Amino acid sequence: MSSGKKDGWGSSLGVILAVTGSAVGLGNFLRFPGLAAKYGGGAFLIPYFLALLFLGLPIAWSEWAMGRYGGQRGFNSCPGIFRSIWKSRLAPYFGVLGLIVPVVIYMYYLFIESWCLGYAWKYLTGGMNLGSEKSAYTNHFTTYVGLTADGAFFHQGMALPVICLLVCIILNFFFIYRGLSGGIEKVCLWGMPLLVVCAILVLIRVLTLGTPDPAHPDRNVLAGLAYMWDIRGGMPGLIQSLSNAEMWMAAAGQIFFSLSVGFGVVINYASYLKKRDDIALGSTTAVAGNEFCEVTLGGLTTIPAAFIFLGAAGAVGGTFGLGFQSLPLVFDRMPAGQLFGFLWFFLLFIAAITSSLSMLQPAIAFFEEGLGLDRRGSVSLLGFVTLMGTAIVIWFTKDLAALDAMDFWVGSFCIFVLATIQTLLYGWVLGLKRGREELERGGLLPIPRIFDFVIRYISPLFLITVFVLWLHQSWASNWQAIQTSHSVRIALLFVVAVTILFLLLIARAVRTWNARERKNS
Amino acid sequence: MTLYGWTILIVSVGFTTGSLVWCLARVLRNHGKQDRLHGTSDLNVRDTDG
Repeated sequence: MSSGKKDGWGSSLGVILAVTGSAVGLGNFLRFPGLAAKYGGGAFLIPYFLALLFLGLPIAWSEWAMGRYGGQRGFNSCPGIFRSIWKSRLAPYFGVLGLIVPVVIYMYYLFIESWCLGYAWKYLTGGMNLGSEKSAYTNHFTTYVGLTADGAFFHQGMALPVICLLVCIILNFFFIYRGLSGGIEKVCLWGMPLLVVCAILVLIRVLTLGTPDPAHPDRNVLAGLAYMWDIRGGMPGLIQSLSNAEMWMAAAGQIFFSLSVGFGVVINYASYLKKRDDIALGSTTAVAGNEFCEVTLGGLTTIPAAFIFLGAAGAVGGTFGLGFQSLPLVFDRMPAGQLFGFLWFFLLFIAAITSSLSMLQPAIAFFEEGLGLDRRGSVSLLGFVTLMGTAIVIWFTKDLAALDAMDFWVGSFCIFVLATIQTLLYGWVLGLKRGREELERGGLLPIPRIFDFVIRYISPLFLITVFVLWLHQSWASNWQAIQTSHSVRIALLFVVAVTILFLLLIARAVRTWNARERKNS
Repeated sequence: MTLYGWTILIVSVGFTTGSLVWCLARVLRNHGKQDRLHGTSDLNVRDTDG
C-alpha cells in the first residue's frame, strides 16, 4: 500500500538464500548438537524429524503463502499483511508481534554477533592462545562479555569487544540501507556459500582427526560420532528416550526456532515475491538449506569435535558454554587449531549477520508503507530504537540478565504466540482454498493434500501443546527473575515501551491505509 | 558405533543433503532461464491493435 518505488528481490536464488540465511544461525551449529547429545544422541532425531514434517514445514509453507498474498495486495509488513487477510479492525494490531519480535531479538543478537566477529579476529591474529585449561577460556569469555558486573563491558574502554560491536552495527545498517536486492540479497548470495565452504573445511578437519591423544584412545572420531548419533542403550534405550516428553518438547522447539517461523521475517520476505514465483519450491529449498546446515554440518562437527578432545563431559553445555568456552579449548588442542578456530567463528559470524539483517527488514517495511518514510528515514528511526535496546543489553551484562529476559519473553514467548496466530490465520481465516491457490500458483512442486489437514488441525495443536509444556517448564524461573532483578525489569519495561510505540504507529498507519482506500474507491 | 547409530546418521545426513541438492537443482535449472523459481511469465494481454 506504500507509494513510490517498491523494493524487491533480484532473483529467485537470492530470496531462497536470504530466507536460509535468516534461519541459519548459532542454533544450527551449537544448540541443535547440544540438544541431541543431551537427549540420548540418535533418539533425538526421531521427534526432531517428526516436528519438521508436522510443524516446521507446514508453517513455513503457510508463512510464505500469506506473505505473498499480502504482498500482492500492496503490503509488506505484518500489520498490513494481517489486515489484508483478516478483515477485522484488530487484525493489524496483532501484527505488532511481527515487528517487535525481530526488532527486539536484533537488539541482543547483535551483541552475540559481535562476539563471533571478535573471536574470529582473535584467532586470525593469534590472540586466542590461552593455554590448555578450560578456566582460561571461561575467564576470557567472562571478561569479553562483561559477565561479572553491570557496565563491565564498557570498563574495557575502546577495546576489541566494543570495536567489534560498533563494526557489527555499522555493517548491519549499511547493508539494510542498501535495500533488499542491493544489501540483504547480495550479502546472502556471497555469505551463504562462504559459510558452507567454511563449515565443510572444519568438518573435514574434524572427521580426519583420528585419535589425536594417544593417552585417551577411546576419544576418537568414531566415538565422537557415536556420542552424537548412536542410540544409547540400544532398543530399550530408544524406547526409554522416546517416552521422555521433555525430549519431544525440545525437538519441536528446536525445529520451530531454527526455521525462523513465527519471527515475522519470512512473511515479510515472501511479500516481495512476484505473482508467479514458485513459493512451494522456494520455501522447501530454504527449509532444506537450514536442515543441511543443522543436521549435516552442525551434527557432524560440533559434538564429535568436543568429544574427541574433551570427552563426554566437555560435549555438553548450553549454546554459549559450548560455543565460546568448550570449543576454543578444542581448537587449542587441534592441529592447525588457530586456522580452524578462525573458520569456525567466521562462519558463525556470517550465520549471525545474515540473521540479524533479516530482523531489521520487517520494521523498515512497516515504516515505509505505514508511515510513508523513505529508506533513510526508516533506517534512522529503526537505528535509534535498536541502539537504545542494545545499550540496555550491553549495560546489564551481569549473568546476561537483560539478554536472557528479552530472549525468553520475546525470543521465545512472543514467537510462539505469533506462530500460533499465523497458523490459525492461514487455516481458519485465509482458508485452505485460497491458501493452496497462493501456494500452488506458479509452482511445479506438488504440495501433498494432507498438508491442508495438518496445517488446520495438527500444526496448531502441536504448537499449542509444545507452548504449554514449554511455558509450564520455564515460567516459574523467568517470573521470579522479574521479581528479583531490576535489570530484567528495565529490559522488559523497554520492550513494553517499544510495543506501545509500534501499536501507536500501527494506529496511524491504519488511518492512512483507510483514507487511501476510501479515496481509491 | 552400533548399527542403529549408523542407520540414523546415514538416513539423517542423506535426507537433509539429498533434499537440499534436489531442491537446489530444480531452482538452478530455471535460474538462468527466467528470473523466477518455476513460475511462467505473466501473459501479455496488452491490446496491440491500432
